[in-house]
Amino acid sequence: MCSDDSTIKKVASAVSHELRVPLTSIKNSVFYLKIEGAEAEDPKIAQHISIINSQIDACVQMVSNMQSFIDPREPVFKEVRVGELLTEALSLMFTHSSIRVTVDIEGDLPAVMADGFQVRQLFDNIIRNAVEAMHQGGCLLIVTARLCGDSVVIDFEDTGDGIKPEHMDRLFEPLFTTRSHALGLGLAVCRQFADAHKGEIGVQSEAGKGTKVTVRLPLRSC
Amino acid sequence: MVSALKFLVVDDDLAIRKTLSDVLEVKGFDVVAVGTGLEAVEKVKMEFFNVAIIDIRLPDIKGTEVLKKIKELKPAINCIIITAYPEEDPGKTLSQGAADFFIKPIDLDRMLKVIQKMAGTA
Repeated sequence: MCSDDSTIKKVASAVSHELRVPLTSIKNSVFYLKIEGAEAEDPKIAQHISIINSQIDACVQMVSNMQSFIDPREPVFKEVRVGELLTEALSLMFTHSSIRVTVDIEGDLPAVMADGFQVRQLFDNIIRNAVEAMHQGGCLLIVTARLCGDSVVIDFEDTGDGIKPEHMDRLFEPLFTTRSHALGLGLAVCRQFADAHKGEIGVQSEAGKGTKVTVRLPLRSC
Repeated sequence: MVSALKFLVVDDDLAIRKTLSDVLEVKGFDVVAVGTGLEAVEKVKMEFFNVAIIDIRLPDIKGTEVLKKIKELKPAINCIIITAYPEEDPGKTLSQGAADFFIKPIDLDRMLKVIQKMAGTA
């Protein structure tokens, strides 16, 4: 069997493409049903549309993380608004009615020179982790973004399960996960993106109480 | 309310052409959809469009080539690039004249916002 790096990269790219194409049609169709008012007819239909969307997003996130990890690309820097990316990420993720979200983004936050796709994927990964951590209880996610010196600092604070002390050192290790249905690449990719932007990502957590993830993105890293 | 812009959708996947066209049509836009780059170029020669949504990897010529030809023929057409390959360089297509770049599955809420902005200039 051939398993050199270039073959693995080609397989990752092919798998990602083969999944993204049908997921695009499914997502477009669900969007069509939504704007045609299908969800307004019956709350159950709205619930199922929401489930389909969140499962599509989970699949996309999985292939995105796999591909970013196996074949990372250099960031393409352009001006991005952190507040807009956070709002987009939260609006797509939050179909979970039991979770309350508080967002506090400084009004005059300057634009950041960053790769919008990578920063968005970074936010998606952190938010999904927070949602997963709150499945067993806990119901509050606080997201704040503020200017701190020459960087924008974003905090994601959840009241979920928290992380056991013995797992803290391994959080950014590729393929490390405590979940049965996860690849364990999300935080590894987050650190990769933070490093590529000359930024930082850190995690503070208390088992049983919750987790706070802090991301620092320099205003200009290129 | 966005005025009735006319769209050219270029994608070799039939299901994507159908679903994207339906979404745009239900939003009140006119849509022509084709599956190859050469068909797209022919359509642009013959008809007026406000916006072209172009997949990068097409069976005959590259989407970036379609973008280049459209910009030569009708520079006023706003071009949006879509791709199922996140490793494609968005900076490259943007520098070639694309107005925006979307990775599949397309975030249609964001795309419709971009289109609304285009409607102001179309």
